[in-house]
Amino acid sequence: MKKTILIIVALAALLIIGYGSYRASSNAPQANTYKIGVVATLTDSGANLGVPWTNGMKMAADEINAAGGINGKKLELSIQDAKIEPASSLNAVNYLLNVSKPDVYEVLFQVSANTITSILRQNKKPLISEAFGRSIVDENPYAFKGNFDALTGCEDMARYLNENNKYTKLGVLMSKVEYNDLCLRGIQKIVPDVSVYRYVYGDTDFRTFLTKANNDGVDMLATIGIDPEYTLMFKQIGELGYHIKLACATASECITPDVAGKVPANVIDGTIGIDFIPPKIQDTEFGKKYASLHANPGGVDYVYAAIGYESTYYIGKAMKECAPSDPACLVNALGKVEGYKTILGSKGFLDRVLQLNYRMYEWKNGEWNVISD
Amino acid sequence: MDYFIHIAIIVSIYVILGLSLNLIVGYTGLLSMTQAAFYGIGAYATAILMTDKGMNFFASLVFGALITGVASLLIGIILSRFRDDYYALGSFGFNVIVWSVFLNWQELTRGPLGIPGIKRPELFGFWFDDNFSFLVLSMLFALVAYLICEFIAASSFGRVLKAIREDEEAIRVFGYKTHLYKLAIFVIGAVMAGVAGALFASYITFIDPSTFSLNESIFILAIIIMGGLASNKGAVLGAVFLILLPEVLRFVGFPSDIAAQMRQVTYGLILILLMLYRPQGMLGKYKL
Repeated sequence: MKKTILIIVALAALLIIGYGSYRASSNAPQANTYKIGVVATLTDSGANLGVPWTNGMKMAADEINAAGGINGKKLELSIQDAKIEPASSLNAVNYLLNVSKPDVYEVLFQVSANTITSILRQNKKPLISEAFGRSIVDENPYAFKGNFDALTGCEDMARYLNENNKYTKLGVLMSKVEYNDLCLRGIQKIVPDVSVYRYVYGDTDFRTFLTKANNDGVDMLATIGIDPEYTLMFKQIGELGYHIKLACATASECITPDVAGKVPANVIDGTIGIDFIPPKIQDTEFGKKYASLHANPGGVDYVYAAIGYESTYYIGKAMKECAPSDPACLVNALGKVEGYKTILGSKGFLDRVLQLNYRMYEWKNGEWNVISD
Repeated sequence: MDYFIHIAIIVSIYVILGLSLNLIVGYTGLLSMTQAAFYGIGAYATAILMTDKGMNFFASLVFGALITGVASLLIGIILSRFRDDYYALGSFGFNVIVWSVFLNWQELTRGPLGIPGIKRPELFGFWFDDNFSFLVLSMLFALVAYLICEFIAASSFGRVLKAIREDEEAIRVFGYKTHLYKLAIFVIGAVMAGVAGALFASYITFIDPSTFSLNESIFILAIIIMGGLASNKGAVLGAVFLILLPEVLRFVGFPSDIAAQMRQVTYGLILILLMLYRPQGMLGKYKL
């Protein structure tokens, strides 16, 4: 009985501490800083993208603050960890909305974006989604979209492959996640009879699918994946000795320097990719600085750090037009933002979708070569 | 205050889930790992009926509970052939199958894209669209679930369940058809989880398969182990504790660069310590 009482007392203490901290933080003055609220996956599946993404944001925020901040005020990030799962994402955004009270919200994954968009729309708060889908822009007038667009990007890639006779028979090899569903829809607009091979996210053995594709006469497989998936796909194609090439969305996530070092050249030569990330981003000033701050970054780390970095700069530029805690002004300013520091060559938003400079690439002689602007 | 109301809503949904699994695992001793599947069936049935058929939440909830009941009856009949560890593995398999259906039956569930735009409940023209009114509704459901569980635990039916947990062979000698009792409590627990799923879908307004994976079944099991098996108060306390703890840790001033990781480590550490010093859970009498 004593133990039970102790446990209940401990629980009550936790509640009191929590509520006390909540009161303290929610009463904190908000007007002296600009704040970006971030819902990111930092400790669960997806952290391989969430961590570099937020690292890029921190790097940009530090630079902005070192240069005097925004309108003389400091730029702060309030980053809340959430799994790629609705309840966890909603917990994080509720914390941000009621405790941190940022001026603008950012989210990386589609499931989280789909979950938090309705509460942010109700509260008329600007939201920038870096997920591959654009549905929230159609549903939420305060939402903006950055990053690759799976639906239109894959449609563009399929159109290029189709018009340039890059395959005899096209297939897709994709995990069952939302961005791949959108990509598949885009590809099917151009190639309705594309052969479809789908695996569960997290699978690591693609030999059965590759053999099936090979037996079906497929010589090019389009896919969106993450670098470990691409590495294994290339490796297993090589092991099986099939003459199947990959078409990747996006190129920078497909053959990173790590992948290039692990996979024989004859397997990856001829790989096609679409992307807006500059090739060799690791050799740019941004890349060098990122590497100096974070030990042993991989190829995908640079990509997502760059996306986070860029977003912080265009948000910061839009914030200059507005006082803190003025979401209506910020939505308007984000829609018209231009002239910000860019490493990706983005050109502000058109219809609330970030205008990115897409190119088609082919991997030859150990590097990505632009084949179509 | 909205943040606390939101957390209280999530807690009340998990209280229903904890209570529902406690009937099966705690009182009857059936180590079921399928609860997230029934949670998902209730959520998906409600979401599809509301978005595709335009049905009212409460009508969808009733149909969702019925569909969950039928699904659990079919699964329960098969599972009743298993015992002990094999029961756990069999139920584990059903969770995987149901999750795969959510993921792959795209015409019905939209697969990985999930179902957005689920409306909040409406009753006689009153919309539960603000969080406070939804909290009242979800707490009402949680209270009803608690009272049902208390009633079952105190009834002769509940006493047979406890006897099955202690010694199934002995109770069978007295002429009790234990497989029917086990099936009945499995279906009752599943229907309660289906109701929790309906509330979840309508509150979050978006569902996708990620919520209803095996991990979720393990989390619900953790709730009743933490709270204490065969204790309804324990199931409530377990849900409060496991939902609240990671949220309270958001307020702890960890260094910002490692705050998320520290939060996870602290959460894990507290659970380990609790199990080390209180293996029967906070209010429980039995170990798993």
